[in-house]
Amino acid sequence: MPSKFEDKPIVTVVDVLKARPEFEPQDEFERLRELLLEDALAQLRTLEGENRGMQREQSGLLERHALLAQEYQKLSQAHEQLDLKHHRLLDELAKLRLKIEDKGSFTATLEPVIADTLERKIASSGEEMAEVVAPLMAPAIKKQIHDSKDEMVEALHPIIGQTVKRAVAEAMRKLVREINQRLDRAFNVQGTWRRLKAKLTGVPESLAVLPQVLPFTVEEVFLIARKTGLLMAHVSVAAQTEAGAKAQMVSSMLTAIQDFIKDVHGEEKGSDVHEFKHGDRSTFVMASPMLFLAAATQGQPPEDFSEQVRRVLNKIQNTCYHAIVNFDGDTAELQNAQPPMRKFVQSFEATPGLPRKHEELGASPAAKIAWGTIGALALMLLAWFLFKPKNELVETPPMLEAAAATLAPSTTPFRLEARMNGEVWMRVFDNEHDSTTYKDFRFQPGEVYAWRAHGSMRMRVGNAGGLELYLDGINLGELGAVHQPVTLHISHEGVLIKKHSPLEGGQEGVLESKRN
Amino acid sequence: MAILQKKICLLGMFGVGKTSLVRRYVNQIFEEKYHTTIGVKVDHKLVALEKANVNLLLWDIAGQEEEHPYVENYFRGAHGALIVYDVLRPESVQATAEYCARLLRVAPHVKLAFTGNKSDLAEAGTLNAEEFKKALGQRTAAHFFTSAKSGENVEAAFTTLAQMMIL
Repeated sequence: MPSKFEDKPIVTVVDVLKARPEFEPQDEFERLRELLLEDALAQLRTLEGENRGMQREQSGLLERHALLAQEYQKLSQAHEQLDLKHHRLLDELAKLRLKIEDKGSFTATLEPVIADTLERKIASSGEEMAEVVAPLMAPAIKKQIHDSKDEMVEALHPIIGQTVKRAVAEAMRKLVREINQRLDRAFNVQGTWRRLKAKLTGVPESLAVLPQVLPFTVEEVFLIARKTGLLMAHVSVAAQTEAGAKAQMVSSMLTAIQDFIKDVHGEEKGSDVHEFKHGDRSTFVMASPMLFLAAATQGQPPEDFSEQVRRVLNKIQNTCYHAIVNFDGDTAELQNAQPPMRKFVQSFEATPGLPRKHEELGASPAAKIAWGTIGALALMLLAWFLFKPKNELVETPPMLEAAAATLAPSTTPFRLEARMNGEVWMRVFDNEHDSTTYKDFRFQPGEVYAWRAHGSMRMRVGNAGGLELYLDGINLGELGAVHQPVTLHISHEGVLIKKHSPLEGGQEGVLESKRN
Repeated sequence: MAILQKKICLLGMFGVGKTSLVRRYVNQIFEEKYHTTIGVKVDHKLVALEKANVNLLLWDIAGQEEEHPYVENYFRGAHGALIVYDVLRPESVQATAEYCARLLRVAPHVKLAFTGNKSDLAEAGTLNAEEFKKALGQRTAAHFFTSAKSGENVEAAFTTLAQMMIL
């Protein structure tokens, strides 16, 4: 394909120059050459300048190279020296390791310095050292005793004897002081009674007072619904917020434990657990048909502590009967249970060695006189009690015995004992089948009464939950609810219970049960 | 507002997750060793309801009935019961009828709720209701699918039961 310029004439620079009239080829070529080479020459000059700069730089670099070579030389020498030292240290380290691994050698190395070091450290920061060493002491002593008992005994003997002696002496001094304080304050019924008892029994008065000076506190009291395990009321010496939340679960667990034990050993009446012990702490549990009253205590309780717990329980039952019967989880309805419980806890809050509140009766002169009079009467009663021919708690009234003998054809004799937990009204009929002759009784909590009878006897009780009956020493179990009236037909074989509704007194019972 | 106390028993076969449900629901105080000693452990939870604040006493009763029969005394006075079964174990569903019957013998007025536990492991809602009908008779009860693992419906089950008890 032909070029598109093919048909056009080519005009060169030479042609242009030839066309000029003053054209002198030699000069013009020279000028042209100059024109054409002008840029190249300028570039050449620049390059020459750069070349000179680089030559200068090269010379500088050569100088630095020489300096660096010198430095390198020095560093190489230093490296060689360090390498040498490193090898020497490795040798030293290997020797030290050998020394440490070889126990004999290590001990020999430390031996001369360890005592001095420890001595200096103890002198400078003894407490710090004690903190470090303390955790080791117990296991170290334990091990030492295990490994070399005789040596330890020998080592400790001189100080143990003195330590024990001093501790015992101190405890005895405190005890004697407390006994003396108590005896000094003993001009009251309790003190007089104690002295008399001591004289009669031959037991020193100081021994009689001993249990009273040992510290004892009631830390918490729980009133628990027996059926559900729900906490009805709670009093604690600790802050309520602290104790309250746990108390609800404790009461449930206490009930669960009671239930569990009953389930394991059978539902025997009167088989409730009365005391849980853990070290010097105890939990006394007093049961009634509807309630548990549990007292968490610490220390040695007084002899009549169970009786005191029972009295509190009876008081609560008497004052809050309807709230207890209708309890459905609302503790606000049992506010009246709190005061006797609080009073009970507070009565054991006295400082050890000082008389407790419930023991301070007779402190004022007027009270001393009153208590003195009561004491004199009590002494007369006591004298009668001590010198009467039989040691029965209460004699069987002759009228009843005679009546009972004529009651039934069976002549098998039996002994019936009633122990009151609450206030109890009772009507005992002279004849099993005759309601016209009878004798009425009103008992207070804590009282005990006994009958001897032949054949059978009939009685009507106004508060079945307020007493326990023992037939020839065997507990007849639950007779009914608190304040529930019941009629009891008793023979040597057991008891037949007729329960009556407490609200419809007199109506015949809906339930009859016979127990042997 | 008054604080009422109510006793709830948790029943169900061994391993259905009763203890896990309780653990999920409350801050526990007692150790779980009580299960192996006396067969029950009690925890509590205070629930604020519209009508009252209710302190729930949760009796988590060990489900080892094969070796150690239930102490039926534990049911006494219960206001409510949560009967738990495992959605993965059909036999635990069948057992609910037996638990229900035993419970009602001792606590006839108890309010009931059933929970199918471990719902996170299975498709819920596929269970046969016959077993529950058999257990309940003429009664009514609440039913939940719960997961002690994820916490699903745990709060709702206990709260509903609490509401039923104070009605």
